[in-house]
Amino acid sequence: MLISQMHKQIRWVIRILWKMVYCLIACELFLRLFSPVPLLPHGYRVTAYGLRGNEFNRDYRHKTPEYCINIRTNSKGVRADREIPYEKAEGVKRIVLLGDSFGMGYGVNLEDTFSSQMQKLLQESGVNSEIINLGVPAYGNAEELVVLKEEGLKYQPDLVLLAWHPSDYAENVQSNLFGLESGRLVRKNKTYLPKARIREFLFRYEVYRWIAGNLQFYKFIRNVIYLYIRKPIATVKTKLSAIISSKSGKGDMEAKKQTDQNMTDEDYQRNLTIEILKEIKRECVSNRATFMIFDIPVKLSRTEFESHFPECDGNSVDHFEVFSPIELFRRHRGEKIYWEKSEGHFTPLGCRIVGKGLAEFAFSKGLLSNKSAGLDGDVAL
Amino acid sequence: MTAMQRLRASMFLIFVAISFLGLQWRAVKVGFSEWYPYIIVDWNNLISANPKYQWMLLGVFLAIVLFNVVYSFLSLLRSEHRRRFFLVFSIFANLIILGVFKYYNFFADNFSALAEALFNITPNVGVLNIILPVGISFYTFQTMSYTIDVYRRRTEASCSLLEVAAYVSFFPQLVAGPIERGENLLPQFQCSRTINYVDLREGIWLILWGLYKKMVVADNMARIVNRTFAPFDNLSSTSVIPEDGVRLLVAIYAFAIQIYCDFSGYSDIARGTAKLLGFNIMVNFKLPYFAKSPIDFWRRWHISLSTWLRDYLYIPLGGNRAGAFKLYRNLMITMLLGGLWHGAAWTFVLWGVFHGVILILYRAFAPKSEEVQSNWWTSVLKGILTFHIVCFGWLIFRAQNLTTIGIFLQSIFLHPYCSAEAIDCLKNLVFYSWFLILFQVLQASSKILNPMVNFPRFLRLNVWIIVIMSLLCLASKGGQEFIYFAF
Repeated sequence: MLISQMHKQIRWVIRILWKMVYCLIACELFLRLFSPVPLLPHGYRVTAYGLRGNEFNRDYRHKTPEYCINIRTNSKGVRADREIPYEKAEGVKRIVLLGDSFGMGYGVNLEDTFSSQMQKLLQESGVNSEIINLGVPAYGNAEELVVLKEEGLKYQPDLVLLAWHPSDYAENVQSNLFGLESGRLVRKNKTYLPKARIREFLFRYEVYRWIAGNLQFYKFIRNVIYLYIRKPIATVKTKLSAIISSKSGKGDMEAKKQTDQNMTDEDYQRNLTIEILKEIKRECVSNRATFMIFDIPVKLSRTEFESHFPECDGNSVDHFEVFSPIELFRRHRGEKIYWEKSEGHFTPLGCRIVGKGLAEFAFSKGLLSNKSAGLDGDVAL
Repeated sequence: MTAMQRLRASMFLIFVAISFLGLQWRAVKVGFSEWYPYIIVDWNNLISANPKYQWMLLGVFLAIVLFNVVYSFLSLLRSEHRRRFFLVFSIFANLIILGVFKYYNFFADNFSALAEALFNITPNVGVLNIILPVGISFYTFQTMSYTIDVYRRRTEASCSLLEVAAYVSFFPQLVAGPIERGENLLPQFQCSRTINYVDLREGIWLILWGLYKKMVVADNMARIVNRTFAPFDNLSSTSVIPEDGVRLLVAIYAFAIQIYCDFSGYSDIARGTAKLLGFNIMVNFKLPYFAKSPIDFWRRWHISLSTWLRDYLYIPLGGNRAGAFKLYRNLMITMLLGGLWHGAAWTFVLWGVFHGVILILYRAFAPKSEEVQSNWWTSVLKGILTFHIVCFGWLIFRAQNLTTIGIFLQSIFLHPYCSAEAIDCLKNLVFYSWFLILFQVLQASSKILNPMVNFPRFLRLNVWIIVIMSLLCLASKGGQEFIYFAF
């Protein structure tokens, strides 16, 4: 009697388990057939300077309905197929690239990234150049400033190229690494590691790597959780903290706005971004490197693009050399410059256009010339 | 989705949840506590975003309810003469409210235009700058059916303000039907209800299936339709006749699917929600695109309106028992008013006339052939022909002006070329509607509206997976208002 009951229960459990497994398989099949999800797994490591960094010596794939590419990092977490020593070889012009996933070259293979394209064109033009891609997905300018100080300058760059994306506005505030006090940039926190530790832990396991890199349903569930649970909770949290801070009069954003009580959130984001960029430029100038910004346009349609780069006053120190490829993009009317079903990074065509534009811009502005840089001077080496 | 739409949707869901839990806890006791949830109408649905109108519209709504309650009292009078007088008074009051809100501006504009054309004078007819309460056509017709049924002694008069208010404002079907009859819904407020597992499952299925029809099929069809019709919505840019007639034809098919899924989706959600509350409301659509004749189509499409028009307009006019001329006249009047019910515009009038003409022609020439046993192929051909007749009607319905209809017909018949964009539209049409079509074929072949009950468990599980995953992955991002909210 007892045994037959146990058998029944076991059968019931097996049936439930089988149904669950079947549901997972059916959902995975549905996604693959009708609504493929881009799989762009990325593991992080915690760096010595308290930020997220790319994993060392990793070779993995990004698979989307539009492309399948390889991402390889070297022993320093730099996207490269070789080791790059800090010491610079004689006669080599070094360009350090700072940026997020756009800068790192999501959406294309290493040889197709805009940095590789730029390097190729510079070499063809007789400049013995070497680009070190220090891009890390989801980075903002605040993290890029820290990376430049802690890592980038060790490469003795001649030119620092920063791939600037409009998401940097929010990321700079979110990271809370820097803030504005009486209009001045101050370091607020030593570390910023959102989900880095848990990712570092999970990505240690091959099983998890396989799931993250191959199961569309897993990514889908994560997206759903983000969209319907985490995002609303984050919104409620932000609103609550805004209410609390407005009542107490000393909340985060209020503290950030000490300089100007009438400053809106957008103004604060903009001013903070400009101050961080100025700081990056100061770092470059004091280390005898030039600084150049690549303003990544926002795609409205295949023919319409928009720049969100902050306008700032153009005195000699604060004036940035900003390259915007919008005009070049418009010449390629209707062609696919951004991936359309894969989180919107550049296609190989987009990278070619950007790489060429950057090389020409660097030449035309003399950013790789042999003059030495002056602290208060223009962007001449 | 706008913030207001999101708010509305969340209020609706919260309301469903509260009502549902409330009913469960109160364990189906009869009394005031039973139907109070249905009286608390989601006023966001009835009013526009402009708050200054809400009290006025609340007043209108309460006036409609009051008219009917007062009439219910008066119906207890013994004198037939007085009963008839108050019936006419009640109907008149309902029609005045509907007329003022919905048709006044239309008739005023056309009167001015006519006077100017005929007598070269511009009469000073004021235009009412008021908004149209959502669903006014539905709840005025619902209240009228109640008063007429009371007069005809088909429904017992309810002398309770709350009961009538609950009937008129029963929120699942308030804004876009089905137009419920008092004889079906009122007794359900009066008796105890039980909600069992089967009702629960069916209710959830109907809600999901309705959402699937609306969010996955209708809203994605809307993208094809709006993109194709957009250049013609503005008269100034309609001079060029498109060279790819196939694209326009696909857009008409897409609109046929859109309007069906949009409206029947709402009806399914309404039925499902009502089921979760222990109510049964009428089926509003019975596979209309499987109709084999125009008459058959009207037996399957918006059943609550077509039966309303049949019972309260067509039959009182004499129906089909007063000779051929009167039959055709009655058909034409019924369809014309049915068209006008949808909106105050000439295209709706024309749509009604078109269906009137089709029904007259069918009555005149087809009855003999209907008696002939048709084989499978003939049935299919008849179905295809009926579908295309209906599609022509949808073109009239969707076009903003007569010029657009002309351009579409010229393009389809004189330039039937297939562009890359037409293929793209067709691909999207098939991609978003294949499962609906397959399911409807199953419904038609099994002759059951909910074939899920007969499916083996394994198949049922797969259908649930497809519907839920489609809702999560394929639902249109923009979100569109229900078309019939405008009526």
